[in-house]
Amino acid sequence: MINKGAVTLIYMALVTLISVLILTVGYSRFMLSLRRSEAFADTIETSYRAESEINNLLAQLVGGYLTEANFPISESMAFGDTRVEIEARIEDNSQIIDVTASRFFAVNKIRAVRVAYGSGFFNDAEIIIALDCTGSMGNSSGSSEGTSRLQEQTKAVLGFIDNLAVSDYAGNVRMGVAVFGRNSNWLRSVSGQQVRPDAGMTVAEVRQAVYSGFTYPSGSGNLARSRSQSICDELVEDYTNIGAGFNIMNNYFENNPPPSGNAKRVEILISDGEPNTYIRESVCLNRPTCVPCSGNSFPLDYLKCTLADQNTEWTGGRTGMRNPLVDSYVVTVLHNPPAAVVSAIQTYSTEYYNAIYAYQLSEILDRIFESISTSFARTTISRIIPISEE
Amino acid sequence: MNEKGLTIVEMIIGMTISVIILMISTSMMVNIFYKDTKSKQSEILSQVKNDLQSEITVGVRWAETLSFSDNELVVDNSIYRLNDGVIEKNGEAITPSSVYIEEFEIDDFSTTLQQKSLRVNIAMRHRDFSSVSDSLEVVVSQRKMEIEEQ
Repeated sequence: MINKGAVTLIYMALVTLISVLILTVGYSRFMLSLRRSEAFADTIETSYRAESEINNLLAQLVGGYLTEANFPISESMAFGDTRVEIEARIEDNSQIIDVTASRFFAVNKIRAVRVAYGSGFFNDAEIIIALDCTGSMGNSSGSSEGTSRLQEQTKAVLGFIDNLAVSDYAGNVRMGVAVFGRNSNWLRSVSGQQVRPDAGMTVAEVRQAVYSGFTYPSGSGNLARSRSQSICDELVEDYTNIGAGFNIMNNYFENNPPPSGNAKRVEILISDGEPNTYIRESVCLNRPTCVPCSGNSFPLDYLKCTLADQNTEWTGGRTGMRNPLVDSYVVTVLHNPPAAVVSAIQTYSTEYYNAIYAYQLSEILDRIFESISTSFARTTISRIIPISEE
Repeated sequence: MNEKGLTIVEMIIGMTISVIILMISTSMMVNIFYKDTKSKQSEILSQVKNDLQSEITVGVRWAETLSFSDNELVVDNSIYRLNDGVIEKNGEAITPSSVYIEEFEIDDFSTTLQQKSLRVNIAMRHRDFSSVSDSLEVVVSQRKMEIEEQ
């Protein structure tokens, strides 16, 4: 009688043990699956939270609600289970903002570095001006003084250089002057030196080169009225190939590193005519492959492809040749500006001005100088965690 | 003595009940194990899907350079390629061999040249249980990493 029920008890114990084991395995798997899903959800949540916070801070900075006076910043906050830490500091002329969003299973850290230029932060700059050297520049400027367009162009450029010379930035700017007609070339100084930004010329030396090249007789104090009286005749052929003017500047910026990582690079082109010619060397680098353009619309197409930046499509599937970090200012002197030319320049340049009369050029170049020297900022956003794989 | 034994009728009834219980329990066990196995495979697919989504979306979002072709996605220095049912990253498998990737399609959804938007479509199934399948379709955009203010 004592042994009665022993087998039943053993059986029951075994069944219970096996059931517990099965339940444990099932529960473990369930928990593991749950944790994996949580980890995935946490990755998404932290990623978006960090991005959202950094964008919020940048919007406040740009809008002026957050200023350098508020730096350094060290804050932490919680959104539910998401913890967000903000660390912001100033190093040299850079505002560095780190946002770290963390949850149980994921961490995301994003850094924004905002570098301010101008207003005392104007580090280095490279400016190239391309001058129109075509025959039509000998026409009247419309001024009551009876000057020619070429004379007004020279006055405007000398004024621009004078503004630069007396500014705080004179020592930080490398300047170049190019000329264009059917082809393009660098202006030369009296000694024959090309006026390129990397030529090591001071602002005063660049001014002297412009002065001697565009006075008649050279250095006389009388501004040259026409291309034949100026250095233009020696440097380029007649007729208007505006793309050639952009091309010489593009080539320089593409093949020469900037003087520093934060250098501002600017090209300015002045022209009084519609593009009406091109040369064999006028090739649109239709990135990523190089295909020569042709056809009647080519002079205008060449203008578009040399002015558009490398991130902008100027025609189906083809992007421009200008480095997107180079700002392009274009000035035309057109009494009745043709719509196609205006549309192309407005679309692809950084800023576009049209002077109805050439005597307005000085005022326009003054505005460009102001625009260039006004403060601006560049922000770079990067992911710190998760670490990028190289 | 007669009271201690079982009659044949009692034995038959007992055996019948046992057989019925055995049949029901066996069927239930088989069903449970089948479902359990299927759920395990589904979980594996689900995990692979999550891993791929994290890997690709984070990569594309912060990529400096992006390009793609049939069955291949290049994110900066990382090349994701479908090879024999397995997705490889720079030649190393990042999906388990038990999962067969049937499709790895990328379409360009970009509206600007500066930032690319890609639609990534991945279809997968378990190699041994072809009825267990899953798919991932996600659209992800490159972030603007440089902003200029004038």
